[in-house]
Amino acid sequence: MSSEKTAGLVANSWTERGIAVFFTTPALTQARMRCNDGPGRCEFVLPSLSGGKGYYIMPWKSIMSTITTTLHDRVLFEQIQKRNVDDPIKMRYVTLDVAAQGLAGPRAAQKAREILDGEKQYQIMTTFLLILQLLKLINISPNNLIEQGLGSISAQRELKAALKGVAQRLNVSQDELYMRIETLSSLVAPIGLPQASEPGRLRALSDELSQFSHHLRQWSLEMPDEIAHLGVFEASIADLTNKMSEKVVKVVHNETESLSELLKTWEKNFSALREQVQQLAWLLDGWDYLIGEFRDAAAKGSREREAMVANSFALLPIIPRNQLEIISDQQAHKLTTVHRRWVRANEDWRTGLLDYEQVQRNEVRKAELR
Amino acid sequence: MSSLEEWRRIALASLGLPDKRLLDVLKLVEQAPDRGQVRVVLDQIRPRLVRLRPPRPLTAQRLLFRPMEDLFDPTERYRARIGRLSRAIVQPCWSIVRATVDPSLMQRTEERVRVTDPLNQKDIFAIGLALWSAAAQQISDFLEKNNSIGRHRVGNDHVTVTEDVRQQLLNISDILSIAPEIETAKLNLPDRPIKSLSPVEIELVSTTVMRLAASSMRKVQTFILLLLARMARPGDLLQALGEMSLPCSNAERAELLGTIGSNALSALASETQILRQQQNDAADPSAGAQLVEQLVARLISLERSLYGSHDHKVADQVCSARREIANFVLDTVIVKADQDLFENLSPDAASEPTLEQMENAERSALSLRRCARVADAVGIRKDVEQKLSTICAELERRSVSDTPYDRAQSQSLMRSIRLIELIAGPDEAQRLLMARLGGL
Repeated sequence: MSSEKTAGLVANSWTERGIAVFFTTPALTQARMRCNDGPGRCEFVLPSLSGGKGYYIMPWKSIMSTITTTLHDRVLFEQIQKRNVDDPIKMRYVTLDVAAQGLAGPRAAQKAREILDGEKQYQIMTTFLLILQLLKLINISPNNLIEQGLGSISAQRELKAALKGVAQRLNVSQDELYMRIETLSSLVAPIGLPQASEPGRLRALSDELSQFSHHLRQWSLEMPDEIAHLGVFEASIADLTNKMSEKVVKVVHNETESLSELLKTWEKNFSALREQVQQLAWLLDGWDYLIGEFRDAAAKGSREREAMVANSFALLPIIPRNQLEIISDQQAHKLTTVHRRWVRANEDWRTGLLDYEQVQRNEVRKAELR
Repeated sequence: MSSLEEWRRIALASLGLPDKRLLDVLKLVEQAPDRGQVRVVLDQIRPRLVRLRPPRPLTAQRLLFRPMEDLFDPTERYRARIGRLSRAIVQPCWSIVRATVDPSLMQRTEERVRVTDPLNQKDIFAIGLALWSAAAQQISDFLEKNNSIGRHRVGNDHVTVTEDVRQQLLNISDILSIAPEIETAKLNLPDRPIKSLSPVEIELVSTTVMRLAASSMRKVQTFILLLLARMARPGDLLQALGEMSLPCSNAERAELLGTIGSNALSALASETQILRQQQNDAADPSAGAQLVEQLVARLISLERSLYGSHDHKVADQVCSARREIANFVLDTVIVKADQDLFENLSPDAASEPTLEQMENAERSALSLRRCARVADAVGIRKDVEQKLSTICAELERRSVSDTPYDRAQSQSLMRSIRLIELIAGPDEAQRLLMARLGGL
């Protein structure tokens, strides 16, 4: 177990920042998992352990010997290990699967099942929109198919023939075309296509960041100077994340808009596109939780807002140095000093007992996942 | 409609209404000119209001008593000479203030409170400043002029002054004289019950205490008494005060802290004495368990901070409070815990409980856990443990399957495991999960 000084505030890379884990044990709230030596050999950065200076870095074994964890978190860790989770997208699916079992309470379980079902539907819709886009290539109007009823045998036959035409035009086999469309749809569904009526979850989350930052700046005007300073800093990180996210979304949308080109040059362009989507997932990783906290505080009074700003600081998903240099060591030191003065001690950690009220708060946050 | 009985009947009937409709009824009732009628209704629906916490419309009277709201006890629970206030003092005190405070100030205040959002604490603070200061002076003047026990005329009313009423009025005057400090602290500290304070918050308390101490130690005592009433573990604050450098001798400081601590303990003891009445009124084991947990946290922290005082009275009060809490836990939560929990779960895996049923079952499980946490402190560990093992054994029995778990069975298993975790902790739940599925 080790405690860093101020270095923990800004990581050098995504992998050093780690993946936020939706644990329900209060002391592990939004712990970040780092797999420096590859999947399966991970350590956790704990920002909520003491509410004090620095971050604790512990392997799971040490966590188990010092903190009473919920059964949900033990099962979640087992699954993370089993499935070799090494990025935020995989982490999210493991989180949802474990929550769906009911170990984080009935509400979180219901929500997780709804999300998993909803995402399956959204992916089917994304696949459908991609196919419609391809049909335009060979001048086939989807209206014909829709009029016949998409499930009808005649429409299916016509669709199959049309896609055969598309495959020939792209110079790939029909099976290969189906496989590419499916793969592409599963990759871009978290962002969504520009022509989709609803944005994908990552795009929606990115949009929420601008609201988050706007309100945080407004609140800061009425807060004591010290804490207002933290609020403005958090708002600026949210703004920056939002801007960077929008750029990535734009790149992904451009790629999907020139769909035939992408499918033709699949080997060359697909992995670049995958990197973009992963970049977006890393950028937004950890913001779900903070936005949940923000929504809660928005419905409450000024004290709760100040507490939210103070508590959020240590959990803030700051963009690593290798992506952008945004904060100097001196500034980091100043901010962490202010933070320490405003955060209350973590009682749960002091008593060593599980505070189930706090656990329930984390479970509610889980039930608000998108 | 004038009979109080009719009002009571209406109140009982309104208890069947959904939350939103009940709040509409409350708004109408609040407009009734007779406070006696209003009180009859409020007494009936209070348990629901505690849960709903609707913002009460602001009035000049509520504004006046706002700085001391944490010290009020219901008339039947009130005990004299421990620094608390009886709800019965509100009316005579208000009569004095209404009759003696400058009418133009009173009118201005009434006009402003009418248009103020009852949740806007900053505006309320600004309006209250002039009223609190004037009222403190007028109550003090009244006590000086009418220094005998008996019935005294104020405006068109009469106020009966007993020794205790006199003491309460004096305390109210003291509180009102430091109302700005109290309200500023409330604005800047967490809501009650305050579980812990950040360094900035401790600094705020310390600065205020030092400022008041420069004027008088009596003001410090009043301020701390009010703050203690907002703390989940008042002993923590007493300990922090013990470490502050106050402008008084060590003996004076020890006496001050001892008086405040023993007053807080007496108030807690009187709260525990009416627990059994609440058992009949509220009959909600979940709320009961929560209340018990708060009381025990307060009791333990006070006992610790008063430890070493070698005062038999303190020891007796602690013992009596423990006994009352233990009886309340056994009679309210433990006796019907299994019934509350299992009535929300069906006996077989085939029919799945609804989300609401499952949440009710979890609430019951958490109540048991709360009781288990306080069982040692109030000396009922054996009874509680026995009940918990019976319930866990039944949950475990329900999770057995002779065939490999299908979807419904495995959901039922997870439900049992989740409830066992809430009742007995994660290790016990993990043991069962591994026994049934062979791994996590």
